[in-house]
Formats: sequence, C-alpha cells, structure tokens
Amino acid sequence: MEVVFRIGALAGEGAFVMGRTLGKIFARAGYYVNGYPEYPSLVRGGHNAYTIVVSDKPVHSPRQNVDVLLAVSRDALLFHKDSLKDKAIVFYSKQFSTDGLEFKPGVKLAPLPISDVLKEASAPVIMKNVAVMAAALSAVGLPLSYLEKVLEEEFSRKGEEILNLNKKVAQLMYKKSTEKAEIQLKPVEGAPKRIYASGNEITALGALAGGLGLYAAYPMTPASAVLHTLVAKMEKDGHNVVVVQTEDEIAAAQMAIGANFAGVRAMAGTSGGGFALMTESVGMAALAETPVVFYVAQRVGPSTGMPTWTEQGDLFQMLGASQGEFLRVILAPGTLEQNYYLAAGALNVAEKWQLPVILLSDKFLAESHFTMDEPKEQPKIERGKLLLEDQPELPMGKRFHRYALTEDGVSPRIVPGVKNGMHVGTSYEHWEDSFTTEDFDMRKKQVEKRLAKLKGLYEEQPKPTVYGDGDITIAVWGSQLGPALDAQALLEAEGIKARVLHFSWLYPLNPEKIKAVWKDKTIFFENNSTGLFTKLLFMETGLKPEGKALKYTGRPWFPEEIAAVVKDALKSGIKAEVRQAESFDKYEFYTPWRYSF
Amino acid sequence: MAGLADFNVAEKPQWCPGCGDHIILMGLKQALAELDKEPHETVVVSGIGCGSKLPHYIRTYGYEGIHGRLLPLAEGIKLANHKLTVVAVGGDGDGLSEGTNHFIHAVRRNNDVNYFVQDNFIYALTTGQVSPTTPKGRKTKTTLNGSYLEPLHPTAVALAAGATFVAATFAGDLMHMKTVMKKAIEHKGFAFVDIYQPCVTWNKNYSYDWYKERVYDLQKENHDTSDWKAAMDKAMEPYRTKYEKLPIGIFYQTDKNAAFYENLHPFADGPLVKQSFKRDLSKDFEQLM
Repeated sequence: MEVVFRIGALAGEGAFVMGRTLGKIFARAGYYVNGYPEYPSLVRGGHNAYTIVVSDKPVHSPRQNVDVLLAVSRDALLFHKDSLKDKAIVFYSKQFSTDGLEFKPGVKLAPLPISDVLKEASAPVIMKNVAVMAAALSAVGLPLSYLEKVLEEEFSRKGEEILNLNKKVAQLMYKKSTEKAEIQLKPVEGAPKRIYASGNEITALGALAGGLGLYAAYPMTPASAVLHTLVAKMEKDGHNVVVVQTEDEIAAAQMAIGANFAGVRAMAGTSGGGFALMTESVGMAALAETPVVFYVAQRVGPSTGMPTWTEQGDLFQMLGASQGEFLRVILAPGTLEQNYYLAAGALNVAEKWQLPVILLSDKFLAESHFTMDEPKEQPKIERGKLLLEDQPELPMGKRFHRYALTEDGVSPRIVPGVKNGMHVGTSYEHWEDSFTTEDFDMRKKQVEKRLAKLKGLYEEQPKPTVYGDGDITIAVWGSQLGPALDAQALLEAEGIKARVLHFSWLYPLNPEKIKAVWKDKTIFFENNSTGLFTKLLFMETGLKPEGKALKYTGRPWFPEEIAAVVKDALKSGIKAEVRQAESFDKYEFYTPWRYSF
Repeated sequence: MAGLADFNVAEKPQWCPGCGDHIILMGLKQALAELDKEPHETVVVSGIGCGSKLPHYIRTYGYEGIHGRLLPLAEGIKLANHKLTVVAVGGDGDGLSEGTNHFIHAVRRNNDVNYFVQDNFIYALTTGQVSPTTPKGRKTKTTLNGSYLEPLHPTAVALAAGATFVAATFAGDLMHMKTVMKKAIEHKGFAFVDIYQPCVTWNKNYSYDWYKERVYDLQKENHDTSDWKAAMDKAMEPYRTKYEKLPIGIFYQTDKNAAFYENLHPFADGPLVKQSFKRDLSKDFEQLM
C-alpha cells in the first residue's frame, strides 16, 4: 500500500517546508516515507517540486507517478500532469485556469476554494500552504490533529493569534475539501516513532555520535545542511562541537587537519568544486599522516554544472585528489542508517589508520528525506595508536619518533600538550623522528610503511552488502541503493526475483571480499556517464559486470527505470550498456515561464 | 621549568650563512624561554619556503604544511587546544601572496595565534622571483626591468582588516625582535608581526646595513599604540618615504575585541581536546520525529 504525493510550487512558495511537514506527519502516523526535493539553482522565479512516497512497507526512493498532486502554483499543473496515475487527484486553487491542459480521463480535478477559506478566516495569503496541506490530509483520511500538532510546534512561539489563525484555515479547508483518494492512510496502530530526516542531517548526527569536535566548511550545495545542522547543535542545542564557516574550502580543510593534529576529531565538508580546492590538503594529511575526514556531497559537474541536481560523477576526483601516490579511504553511504554509522566510522578509520577518509554522498541522498528508526547502538569510538599520556624524557635535542617504522604501517601518534612528544607534522618526506630527509633508503621505507596500511584496510573493509536473492544482480554504489531496493520490490511484486549488491566501502577494494559475493549476470547501475565505479572495480579486482546502466540527466535512478532495465535484460539478454533517458516531468524547472499556457 | 636549551635541536639549520632566519629562530627561542613556555605546550606552524623550515629547528611541537595555508592550520590546532601557544611563521610569498585570503580572515577571526612574517621582499627558496612586498623598481628574476607593481603593505592590510595587535621588527636587532615577539605572544587574540629580514643571497641590495640606516623604534618616539589612525599613518610611512624610514615596534594594540574562543560556548569548558565527546543524542533524534 503506497500513496505518492507531489507538491509543485514557484521557488520561494514553500514547497519544501510543506513537503517536509507532510512527510513528518505521515511518519508520525506510522508510515515509511521518502521525500525528494527538486529545485533549480535560484531563490525566486523557478519551479520547485517535492515528491512524498508514503507506504506501509519500507521505502527508499521517490516514484515517477503520483496519486495526489498539490499544485500550489499554476505551472505545477502543466509540469506534473503527465506523471499522474490513472485515478490521481489534482488539488489546486480554484482561481487557476486549466484551459489548454489535457488530463488523463480518470484524473479527478479538485479545485480548492483557497481564497474563500482565507477570507472566511481573515487569514493572510501566506497561510494558503496550510490550506493545501489540510486538503492533502483530508484526501487520505488522516485526522487533522496531526497537522494541528505540527502547527502548534511551529507557531506557538509566534503567539496564540497566529497559531489560531493557521488552525482555523486548516479546519475550514479540511471540511471543505471533499475529494478522497482510493487508498486511505489511517494512523498505523502500534507503529514505532520514527525519525524523518535528510542524509545531511543524519551525517551531522553520526559525526557527533562519532566524537566530532570541530567541523569546518564553506557553504556549498548540497553539503550546506551539515554545516547548518551542526551550527544549530552548537548554538541552540548546547553540544560541545565547534563549527567554523571559513573564508574558503582550503581553510576548512586545513583547520580540520590542524584540529586533528592536536587531538580533536574534525571534519571538513563540501561538494566537488570545493573539494577541488581542498585537494592539496588531502596529500598533506596523507604525508603527515594526520587523520582527517572530508564529507563530499556530489552534484552535477564538471564545474558549476547543474548545481542543485544529482550525479555520482566525482569518484575519480576523490581517488586522484592530490599529487603523489598514497592511500586514502572512500566511503559512500546508501541509506540514512549508513549515513549515521559511516560518519562515525569514517572518523574511526581516519584515526586508526592515520590517513584521509572521504565520506562521499550526493544531492539525492544528502537532501532527500527518509524515515529511520532511532539508532539502537551507539557507534564505537576507536582512536588507534593515540598517546595521550606524558612520555619518558627525550634526550636533549631529540624528538619523538612520530613516524616510527612499524609492521602495520601505523606509528604511535601523540598530540601537542603531551610531555616529550615534540615532533613536526610534516608535508616533507621525513626520518622516523619527523626531521626532513632526502635519504633514498628512508624514503623507500617511509613509502612502504604508509602503503603497509593496505593490509589492515583490507581487513577493515566490510564485504559489499547483498539484499535478497535471484538470478540477476542489480549492483549499485552509494546513494543508488534506495532506488535499487525499491526496484527489487517492484520486480518482486511481478514475481521476478533480483538480487541487490551494494558497495558502501569504495576504496581500497579487497578483491577476495568482493569475489565472495560476486555473481554472473550482474548489471551495474551508476548515476554517471562513464561507469566510474565499474572501471575502478575492474582495476582493483578484474571483475566486470555483464552490463552497465548509466544515467546522467541530473536525476537519480528511479526504481521504475531500474526495474524496466532488469525486465528487458531477462527478456532479451543483458545489454553491455544502457544509457537511460529521463522519463517523466521533462520540464526545465529553471525557466518555467518558457512553458506558458 | 624549561630553559633556552630545551628548545634546541641536534640538527643545524640549513639556511644561508648570514640569513635573517637564524636570528629569527634565536629570537623565537629566547622569547618562548623568557615567557616560561614549555616546549610540549608550544606549536610552531609553517607553510613552505626557506623560513618555513623553522619548525624543524626548534624543539616544540610543529607542523610544516603547504605553501600559504599555515594560518588556518595553526587556527585548527589552537581551536583543538586553546591553552597551547601557537606561533605561525612564514615568508612574504607564503603568507602575503598565496595565503592573503587566510591572512585577512585570520585577522578577522582574532584567534589567539601569533603570526610572524619573515619578510625579505623576495621569493628565496624558488630562487629570486618578485614578491608582494618587493619595492617598486627592484629587478628580480620575473621583473627584469624592475618591479612595476605597488607593493602590498602588510601592517596596513592587517590594520585595515581589524587586527588587534600589529607590529614590525627587524631581524638585525635581536633584542627588539625578541621584545616584540614576547608582546605578541602575550597578546590575547591574533598578533601580527612583520619582520624585516635581509635575504643575503637573492636580495643583496637590502643588506643589514641598508635596514639599520632606515629602521627606527616607534616606542622611542612617543607613538600611541591605541591610536588606530596614527598606526595606519606609520604603517604607510615606508611607502610614503620611498623606504627612507622604516618604523618598527608596536603599531597598534587593543583588547576590545574578543578572541575567537571567547565567542563560542564549547571553549568555556576548557580545551576541546580534554573534553568528553560521549554524547546523548536522544533529544536530537526527538527533534526529527
């Protein structure tokens, strides 16, 4: 049982606030929810949309076709009318003309008397969104009290008068709106309380759970919400995390490395463009063996590209960032839970192995909302060979052997403030005591020491995760797990069994662990145009999927599209390469005025 | 208690004989020792350049990072443990060219970091190219007919950005340099010191004698260090007088602006590095339900 809503509005009209609010309400009513925002790179003038999938079974991704369209602006009617299901309901202000618009025969048009309701309640126009949300609840038979509770939480600080006005608008519209959806969403008895949050928000909380002490960032879509969340955790919620908005991404990277050097877990966050600026710092952390975590939320590149859309195009940028050869770890979460545990885990890996770790997300996972149970387990904090106790006295003029040659490649690390640990964190090649060297033998030994960490990382790496079973495998990495899992469910409903293979540990890759779960008849779905991970996989393991399916329109893979590729493969064999075209709502949100009707 | 010898390392500095860096290193060691700083509670941070090798020649904690980025690196260290003494040292190319953005914003943040610029008017490690502070008309490897750009005025830039401590000193006057360094380290907030330093290899025109004829001590001239306008006037004097007069000493100092760590509550509970990060996030999750 699943109901799909889509809110369409002019940029600045509040589509996301409404979407998030409705999503939260359905989560509170006991349902699994996915909320997916789409918007152009501007503040006013374009079109915004927010798709909500509500289900009694777990949902991990948006859908193309909707049951209920909430057209806050008139252009939403045009933009979304072709993605309506056969018996969909379309709510819109009765003041909007539908002249020149053709809807499918079964679609129910439900003009709302928004202006009348506002007039009757003596409410300002700004409250029209409350009216639309009330109509949405009314359509699926969810008690209005859910909306009233949210209004109380949002508006009680603005005073009784404003709160009551909002409530009155909601009550009037709830009664006046009579169109009912086929599927009714009664509150689910005994459902647990669930979190409704974005990948960015949960990344922030995961990092806090993992002992984050400092976060440094320069604002950049789609990573900024981590910065916003952590600032709120510091300034409003009283957490002892220091958040600095720096002058640029280079400063953010350096500040995070500095804090880690001095013993505080720190992270720098950005998107691909900002990470390009952090590049030189990645190599510095690698040579100095200072732990550091970079959170990178990809968007559509190269360069400014399509800044508010999604793509998995930066994998090789992560892999190749900075000159020279060195180990780094790249992790890419696929769900909110993975955002939580990998954010904490990235901090552990960085400190245990004393190297840079990149936590790679993208706009789709970072800015979409999902339901999630409150994590039961507190992530473990593992700091590796970190010395925090005073050390025995050093001979006069001598330094601590910070870069001591060890078998596992990890040397004891010590931080300023601890007695007799004096040494230099250094970007130059160095002796064991950190003094600069150009000695050929020591160079060779230090290179080998740093590379020796690979063995431990091979052990640290978890096996790729397998979901379900079947003859054919849908392989994905990072954020595309959600659409893959939902495609698996769609196929299952048609009696087709498919297996999902998901990579969240992207680099380095232990061939044995991958071969253990690898099967023939695999199609690798990537959200990019050249199959970056498929190339990396071949490089590292020699494994090659029979097919790769690539999508690079700016949108994520939709489960319907994945299911169609799989069905086609089962019918007429796996194609070596599929290039997916966008299949719904093909309007350009940046320039809605081009589509006047 | 640590003495001067505790800051010594076994290795000999690899700088040109007569380079100002030798004297700057000595001045810094003396300043730290005289202020009773402990080597393990001191961090000397640098970027890349001749002078940036300094952290290797002083037995404190240190970080030699990458060109131009020493300030945010030093600030990160300071934020992790604001009880540490953090000194950033770097040249004019490092800090006033590649790192200018960080310089201006580090001044604004007013983190309690001491920034000593080894200002020799030239790129030395890369063998003699023009630098942001190279005087107009000076021939270098990249200005064969003489530099045609106005030089950057480091003390004036610091003042304009709102610095709370701005000073200059001369590597040929160890006593003066040490005194200014000590005042800078004692200052709460970002302290900027421009150190005139001869480069005996690539900038022979500006010798110790050339500087000695031109520098004069502001503190012997009744200069009011609380007067921002007077400080700005002195900061521009070298350019106004075509380098005939080079004021050194403290130009400006104020305690009116909060140091960075005074703005944010987590620092009130002591150095971050000593705090517990075991957190109860149940309320944070509750907000999202």
